[in-house]
Amino acid sequence: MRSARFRPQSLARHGQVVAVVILFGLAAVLEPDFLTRFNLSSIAFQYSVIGLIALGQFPVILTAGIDLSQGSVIGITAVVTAMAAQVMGYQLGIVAALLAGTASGVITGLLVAYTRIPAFVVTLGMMSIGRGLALTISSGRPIPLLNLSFMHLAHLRLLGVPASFAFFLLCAALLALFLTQWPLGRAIYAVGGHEENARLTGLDVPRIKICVYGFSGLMAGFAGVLLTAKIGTGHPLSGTGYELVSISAVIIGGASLFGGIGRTSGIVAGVLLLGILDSVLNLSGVSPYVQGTVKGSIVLIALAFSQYSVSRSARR
Amino acid sequence: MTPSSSLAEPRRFFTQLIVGSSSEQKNLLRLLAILLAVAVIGAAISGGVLLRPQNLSNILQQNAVLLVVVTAQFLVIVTGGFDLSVGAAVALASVVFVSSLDHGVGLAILAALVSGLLLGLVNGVLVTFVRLPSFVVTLGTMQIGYSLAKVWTGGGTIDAAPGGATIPRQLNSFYSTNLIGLPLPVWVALMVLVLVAIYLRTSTGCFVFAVGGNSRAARLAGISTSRVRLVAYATASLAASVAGLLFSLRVGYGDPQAGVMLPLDSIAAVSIGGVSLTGGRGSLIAGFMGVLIIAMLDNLMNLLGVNVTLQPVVKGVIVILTVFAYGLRRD
Repeated sequence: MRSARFRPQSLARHGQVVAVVILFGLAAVLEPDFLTRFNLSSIAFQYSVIGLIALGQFPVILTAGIDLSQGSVIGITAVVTAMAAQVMGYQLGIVAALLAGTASGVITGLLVAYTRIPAFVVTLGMMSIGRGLALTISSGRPIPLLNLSFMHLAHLRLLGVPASFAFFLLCAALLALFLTQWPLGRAIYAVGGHEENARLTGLDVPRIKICVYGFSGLMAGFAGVLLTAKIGTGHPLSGTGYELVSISAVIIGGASLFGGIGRTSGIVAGVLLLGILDSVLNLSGVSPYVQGTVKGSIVLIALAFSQYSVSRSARR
Repeated sequence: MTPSSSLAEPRRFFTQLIVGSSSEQKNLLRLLAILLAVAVIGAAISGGVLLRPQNLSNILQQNAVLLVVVTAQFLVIVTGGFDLSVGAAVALASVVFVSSLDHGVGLAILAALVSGLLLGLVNGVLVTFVRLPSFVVTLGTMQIGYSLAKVWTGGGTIDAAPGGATIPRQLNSFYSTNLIGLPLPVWVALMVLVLVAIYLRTSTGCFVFAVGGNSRAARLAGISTSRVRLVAYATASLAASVAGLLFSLRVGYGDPQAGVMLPLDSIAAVSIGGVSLTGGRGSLIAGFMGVLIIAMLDNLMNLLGVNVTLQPVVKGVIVILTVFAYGLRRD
């Protein structure tokens, strides 16, 4: 593996990235409307929201946990953004939403770290609690926030790229650096690889868990702010079901649900794969009802294939 | 545990059949105490309305679908997996049932059950032979199942088959008919429970616990772990399609978006019942009691006029607190 010569294995290690390039090329050739500015920026916005929470989900899954509460945290932060913005301006509204998201993530993290409740159950409970709180503080009604400079955030562009997408890529780059270069980042892999060993080597496992769940909440906060800016309304039901999409993206990106395995580039590729697939299915006029079957089957086939190649390389 | 010894002691066989081992019996007593506490306190603050026979029967009737789904979820969780596709199995079965009523009720029921069985076999094959994590597999088949149900009906609900046949009138009263004090759908749920409980006490059924407890040890002991898992997933989806039939009979139509909350609600109920989410441990009736505890609290909050939006908050807190309590006990 160390030689500079081209090896098919090194291509396989970046299978998701290769798949994105191939799928993008196919889409560009076969679907004339795919490469239009309008289409690309609409995928870019939608999948930067999903991308942000997938980046939040990824470290959680690296520690062999799971965060089912992300969708509900998006609901809370959407409502908090709009309500706080009405009182103290949208800038502070955003700050309040990010704080609310991080706070709910930290509460989840504390429960996972210091009690014996499985992460699945904690975040399942938080999912229910979060959605209930979002509906309660908003009295079940969407909260309008028709502030033009706030709504402009969702349509901002940097060098022709939607700013939300640039922000997603920036976050991904920072997360990749953090996970590979910083001691705490490496420790996240260690906790997921073997928690007891990580503890015995002196790692502060509870603190690491609080960090990853807090980060997941923060990313859900960003997603909530972006969705609110896009529609100009803080909707208590926004983000419903997003946690499952972010988990799918992370799994397609090559992370293991058992923890310790996965790289940030793969997660970005997983998000882009879902985005391109979605766009191609829409552009080619596939009925939205059929799309679920196609997407679900492709995801399962892709996973089966990667499982097959993993077990084959393990047998060697 | 073995069937041969239990035949010698029929009484012990039946207590084991219903409640399981002695540690499970303690757990069940505890759950029963919680249930009674909720009932007594609830009756006191609702002025006795909670415990009126009509109200109790309503609670059970409204939760019959969930009770069946909990049985399904339990089977899969005991093997150490999750089934997120139970809701999709319910939606698919309800749609298939209504849209094949042209061929008679019997065949329609059969078609609905077959749809569930097929979904379960796909889950089972992907989990056992392709070795994908059950969470991911059932997440995918959930999406596929809902999508197929929508394609089938064109997206909306369906109240009649293409030939015009609707759910027969005799079946409209199915949900409100009582038999010995319990609504018929509750009897169906109990029947599914008993059938699965009997299966779990047969010699092959015991293997379900063995596979969930330690899959490697089970395989080394000569158990065909893949067959056990395959049967568990298939049976679970089959049971979920029974829940789909109940759903259709309750609302009178087939709904391709039915049961979206069922996967998580059933996992929550099973957790409240103290079933280990890592597999191998727990009793079916504890899952049932988990449903009853949530249902009674929901009903109580309705009676007291608690804001509907606060109900999920209370439910979430209860799930976390009860599972926290189980963690303390195992210290």
